[in-house]
Amino acid sequence: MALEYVAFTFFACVAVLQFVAARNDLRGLSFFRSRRAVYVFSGLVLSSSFAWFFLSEDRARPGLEGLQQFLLFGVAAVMAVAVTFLLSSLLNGRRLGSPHQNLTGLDALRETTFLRALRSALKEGDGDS
Amino acid sequence: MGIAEADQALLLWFNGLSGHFRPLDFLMRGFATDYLLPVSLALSLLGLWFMSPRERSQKAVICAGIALGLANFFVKMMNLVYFRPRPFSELELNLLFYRPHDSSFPSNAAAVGFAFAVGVCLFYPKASWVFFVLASLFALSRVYVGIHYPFDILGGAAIGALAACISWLILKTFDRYLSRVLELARRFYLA
Repeated sequence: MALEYVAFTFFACVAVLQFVAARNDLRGLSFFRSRRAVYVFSGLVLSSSFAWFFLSEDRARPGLEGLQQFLLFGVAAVMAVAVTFLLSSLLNGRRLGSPHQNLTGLDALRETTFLRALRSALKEGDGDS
Repeated sequence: MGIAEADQALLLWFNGLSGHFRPLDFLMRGFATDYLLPVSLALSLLGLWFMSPRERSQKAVICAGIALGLANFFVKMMNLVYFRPRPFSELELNLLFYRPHDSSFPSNAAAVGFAFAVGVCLFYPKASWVFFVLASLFALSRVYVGIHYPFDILGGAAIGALAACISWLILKTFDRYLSRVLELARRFYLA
């Protein structure tokens, strides 16, 4: 049950991350070039994960406790963020350039990938010291 | 009619709507599960973290997160001092769910849902409507399937709202430190 829950929430988190990447024009986080493709992918993955989890078994019975759910969701969300950041960095590495100077935080991912932004930030840090 | 009688009458009326239209029963049973709406609330919170305006949405997420912990704590404390039997153990009704054995009052489901909703609303009212819809569905479905009285969900919602207000006060008090933490997260492109 725990494994099923983690798998379900992992894919659902990936889908939500893709949706918000498309909505906020965070091109560095998207898996696809086209926004429409990202929305379609997000919708399909989200609905499939829900359908799989809730139709594979009757979930209206005792299962995971609240604390267990909280911890497992946390694990799945962290994994989903890590996978999304890494995969989008690999997929968009050639297409997107270095971050613009005045874009900070997640806004920088409008123009660059996570790994590239992190590398630039670390280089700047080395340059300062 | 006293409060207890009114509570029972309202439950029997609402639960009495079940058993007539199968698709509605199926839907409400789905909403009442321990997974569908809590996961939907958590996913909405995850999405909110990445939405603009960033600092406001991220503070809303942190507020809701702290409120969740506080709400659960308050419910556990109340359960230590007061036990209310579940409606199915006292009344003849159409039970569409498994039989939980913990105290009926207050509703943990309502406390959690409204901790999220009010927590988000205090920082970002425009974004909170989704959370209020999900929290209300979660709470009402638990009455429909016969495992809570209406007063249980009102009590739970009040506890959730209180937890959110305390969370908001904590964040306002430590706003300077919170901003520093978010600034650090921004340096690593996580906020």
